[in-house]
Amino acid sequence: MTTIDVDGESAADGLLTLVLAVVEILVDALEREAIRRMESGRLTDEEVDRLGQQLAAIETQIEEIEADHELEDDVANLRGDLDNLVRDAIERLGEADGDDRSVADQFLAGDRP
Amino acid sequence: MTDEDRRATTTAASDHGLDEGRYLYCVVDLRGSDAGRERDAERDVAAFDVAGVDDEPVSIVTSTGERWDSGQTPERVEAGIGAVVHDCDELYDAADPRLLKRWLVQHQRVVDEATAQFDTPIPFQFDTILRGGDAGVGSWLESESETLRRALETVAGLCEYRIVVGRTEPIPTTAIVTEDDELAALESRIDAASEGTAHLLKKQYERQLDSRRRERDRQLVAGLEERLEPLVATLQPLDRRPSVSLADVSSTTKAAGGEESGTADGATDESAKGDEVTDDGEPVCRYAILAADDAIDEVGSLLDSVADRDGITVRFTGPWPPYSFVPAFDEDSDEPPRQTEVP
Repeated sequence: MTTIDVDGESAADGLLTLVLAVVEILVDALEREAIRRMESGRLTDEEVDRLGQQLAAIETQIEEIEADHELEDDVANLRGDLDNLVRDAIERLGEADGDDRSVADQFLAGDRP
Repeated sequence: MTDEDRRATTTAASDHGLDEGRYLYCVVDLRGSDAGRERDAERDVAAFDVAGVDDEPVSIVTSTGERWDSGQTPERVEAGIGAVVHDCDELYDAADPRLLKRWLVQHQRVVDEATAQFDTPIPFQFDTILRGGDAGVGSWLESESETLRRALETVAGLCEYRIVVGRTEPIPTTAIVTEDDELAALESRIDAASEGTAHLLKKQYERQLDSRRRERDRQLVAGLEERLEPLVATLQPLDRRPSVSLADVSSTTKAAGGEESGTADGATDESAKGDEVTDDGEPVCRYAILAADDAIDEVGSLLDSVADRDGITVRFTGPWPPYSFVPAFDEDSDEPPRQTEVP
């Protein structure tokens, strides 16, 4: 179980880890949407390129902050835990519906179940 | 004393001790058959001689009110099923992990001995205690007799084994891309694209690669299940991660027993021990199987062929008592699988 220490010296790091994890998840969602729009052909080449550059810049910034605070592993672990939590929850839902575990995989893969 | 009084007394006493408690190890089939031959129940009961948790003397109690203490020779065994118990007046709760481990081993030894003497029993988790003395045990056996009998038939002659398949190395990118036109096409688009577009295409490439990897693991799992099924009596997929692992076990018995009931995935500590996936990479799938002795070599070589794949580890443990195949007991009856109320 992941504990975020909000009391004591590592409080700032704990909070920053949480914030970075949330931002990463947001950027992931944005990327997913950007790829969808790119593939739909509704954006011009210039728009796609600009979108890609902006997302790349955000990603670089997040990486820099993580590296500065040596939080790469913490953020990755927290996201891993969150993924497992969600995966388990969806699997349970799937079982309850008599469905199979592929629902969870589809969801986590970003397909629309 | 009326029933009301008795209930009140036991509830009050429950914080500190148990009134007429019976520590339950397992339920055995006293009159089962060995290879079609009816067993000699009297001889089997007489031969059943083992010390229980904390060296307590172990007895067999039946629904017909019979009771035989360890090593005692019965004149005649009337009942079909019996509960292996010892008398106790409190829960087994120790702060000392060594003592706890000793108890767990003793618990396991009783179940093993019962298996040797009476064929595969329905095992119960450490610290499962029935209230109400021999009469309480008897009426519980009576009320659950159909469930217990069916469960005993299911596990007769079989043992539980655990299979955990894990992935320590992802499938190499080249192995996937060489036979995937879509990914190959993305690769050439990335090479030709401007910087921002290339970034998005790379992300798309990574996502597709991930999804191909997952698809391959799904195929691995489906193939394994298809080949396992004909070899085993029952194949039960489990959650990919164990609900209880030794890492979670603190020094209390509560943690050792886990939060789950004695049903379905209620693995006890002994079986959870073989299940940890810490060094075995990402769990791909986990199973509990019920299988006969003579099927195990073939299951083993099937699993060897899976483990031979790059980046895959397989953990195959057993034989265990069939902890994963303990039936769910009627919640309203006198016996929730753990500490129970007076009927």
